[in-house]
Amino acid sequence: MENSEIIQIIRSGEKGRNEIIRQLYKDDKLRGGIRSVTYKMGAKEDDFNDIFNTTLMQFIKTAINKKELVISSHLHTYIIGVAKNTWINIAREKGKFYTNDLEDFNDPVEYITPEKILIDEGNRTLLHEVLDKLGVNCKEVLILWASHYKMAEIAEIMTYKSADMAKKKKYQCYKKLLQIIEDNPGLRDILRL
Amino acid sequence: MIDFFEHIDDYMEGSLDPSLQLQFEAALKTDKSLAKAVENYDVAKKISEALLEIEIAQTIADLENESNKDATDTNEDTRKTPIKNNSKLLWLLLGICLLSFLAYLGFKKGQEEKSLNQFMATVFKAPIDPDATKSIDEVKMDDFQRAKYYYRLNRFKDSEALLKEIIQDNSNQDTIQLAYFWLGHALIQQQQLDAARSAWLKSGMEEVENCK
Repeated sequence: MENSEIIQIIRSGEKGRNEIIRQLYKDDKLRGGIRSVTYKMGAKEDDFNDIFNTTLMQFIKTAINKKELVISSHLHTYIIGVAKNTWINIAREKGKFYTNDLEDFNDPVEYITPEKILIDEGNRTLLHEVLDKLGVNCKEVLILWASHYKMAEIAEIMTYKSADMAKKKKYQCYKKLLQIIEDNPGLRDILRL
Repeated sequence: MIDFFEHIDDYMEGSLDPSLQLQFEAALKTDKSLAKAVENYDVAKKISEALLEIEIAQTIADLENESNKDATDTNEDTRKTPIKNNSKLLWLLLGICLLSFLAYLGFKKGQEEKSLNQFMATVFKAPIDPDATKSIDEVKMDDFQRAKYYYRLNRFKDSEALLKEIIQDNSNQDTIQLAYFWLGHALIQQQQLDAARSAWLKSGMEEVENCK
């Protein structure tokens, strides 16, 4: 599968996205590559799950948020590049030792600016429960809206008849979300707003 | 009538045309829900961004659980397998022991048969004696002749009985040894190997002494 196809599937909605995540999660070669590079940079076995899961999240977020994204290298090379930077961020946050001496590595690693992770792992479950009330379609519309997709693009992805229809749907979903925010004042704290 | 909610994005981005901008700002003063929507715009957008993270995290968590479950199942299987393996191993060992035992018995039997065959080949040659072959009047025979005669007639039990009487009643060592010799033959014909061997030993047969 071409990289452009993979990106398209990721953007197509939750179902396609989950399938790609599943494939990447079970990709032993990718795991091996990430392990190899990040271990050379000082990561330990205990760090691996954190690095791998965050890398997957970063990659999927980037595929959706960066509409101009074109991956010219092998997908593994690109994701390993994401993993490298993810490890640096994790190590900095947790005060762990890391090295970033690129001369040590033969791997052609791209430098990828990682997406910012908004929610602590501990709060994700809580938010998941609260935001589940939105429903699948509303979540998808709001995700695309937050990722700066135009209404025409949202309409295409969500197979709505027109951009106006997408706008109407987004408006309904936005109102639903506002109600949830009203009902759950703690959400601001969780998002550190 | 204008639905200002549909223009919140443009208002927040500052891309409304000036006349609509003025109308929007006027509506904000009178419409509390619109004012609240604008006030919470950043929070709503941030939460909408977070929706993706939550969804991805949930998918990964599901995959992790799936993976852990597989690992647990595998471990359980692995824990069960040694029992099965142990059981298999036990049966295998028992099988080997049984086969070894049977092989040993076979070997032993073979050895015994070999030994017996050697023994038989060494010492058992049906004796040829005129007394044992001639058919004469039984009445004129002495006990020894009769014993040999019975032997010739395959009446080994009768032969044995007579020979034992001769051994018991006789004091002549040569006669006794000879009687033991014939007794051995009478006994071996009855498959009494140990007794035959013992008899032959007493008869002084060197072959028997050397045969173990």
